[in-house]
Amino acid sequence: MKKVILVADDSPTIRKFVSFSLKMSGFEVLVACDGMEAAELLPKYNVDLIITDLNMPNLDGFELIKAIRENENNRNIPIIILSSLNGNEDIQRGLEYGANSYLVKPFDPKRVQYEVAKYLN
Amino acid sequence: MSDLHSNMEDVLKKVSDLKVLFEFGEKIVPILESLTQFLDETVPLLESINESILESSNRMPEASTQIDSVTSATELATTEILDLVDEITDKIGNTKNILLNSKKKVNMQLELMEKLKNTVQENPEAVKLVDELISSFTKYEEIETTEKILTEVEEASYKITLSLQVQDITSQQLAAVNHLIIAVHEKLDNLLNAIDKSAVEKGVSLSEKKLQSGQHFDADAAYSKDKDLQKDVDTIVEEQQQKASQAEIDKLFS
Repeated sequence: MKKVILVADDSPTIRKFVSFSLKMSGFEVLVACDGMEAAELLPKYNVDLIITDLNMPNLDGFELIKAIRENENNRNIPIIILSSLNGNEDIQRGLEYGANSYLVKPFDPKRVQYEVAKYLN
Repeated sequence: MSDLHSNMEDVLKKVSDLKVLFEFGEKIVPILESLTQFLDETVPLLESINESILESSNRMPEASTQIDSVTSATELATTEILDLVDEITDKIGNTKNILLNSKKKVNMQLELMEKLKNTVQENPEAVKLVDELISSFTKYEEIETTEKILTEVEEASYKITLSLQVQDITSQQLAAVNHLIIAVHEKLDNLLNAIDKSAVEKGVSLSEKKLQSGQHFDADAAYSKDKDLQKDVDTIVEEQQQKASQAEIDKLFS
């Protein structure tokens, strides 16, 4: 059975890029256009990993990570942040909230595949 | 007598003061006249500045809408290109599978011909013919060359997707510009209100037309292929994770 990855990003092109590289690696991809949609999708699917942006409307990436980690059912899902924010504070905050990896945009699709494989293979 | 003298002195002093005042008045009147003239000339100028601000302010929502249109258009174009790249990659994958099957078939055919060659070993003519047949089957290398070319095309498609990320970065930069326009628009709106309240009414829905921007952006987003950026992030992540695990160990033994 294919592993399911949830991608949350308000940019349709980034959602497409990430989906494209993950599908090439044989994963099933779910997409959400903001943190709120991602939080709503989570209980409906068996998500194995989450890739999230930070700057998003409705519910930003930090709040999404916080909400995921506070939920008993989702506490152990690996989370990869994929953001154009590369400041020390943002990285530290993201990791403190519970993200497992931090990737900056523009990203190398191979690096995304590598990070995903690290948690799912 | 001395009282009268004193009063006279007071009157003379006041007359003297009055004289000074008149003299001062004579000097100040031309200045006041030129000031009035200056104000007369300045008021139309201020009105024209006011109108200019009003016009600029009214154009801002239009500029903002145009920026949003540019973002939407590039987004659409990028998505279309990505769909095509996706399609190309799928087709390359299918073609590679076909080539893989062809390689298997060629291998089988070669094995069969080798067997045939063994069975006809007594007949040199037949062996010669089978050898010719085998040499005509050396298409295996051609298949491998085709596979190599397809892999190169696949990698190039991959690089296209990497370069297309520029759209996301520019859309964030445009969103930052839009945000600035909104801020300037609001400031000008306040300024016009302060200068002339009626000017705001003259403006095309100036106070009502609040610029909308639902985009969340990183104003410092930059398109860079510099791999050191990710390396720097990796260093911070490593340090942070080491800190976290040390804290966990300390907690465990406390």
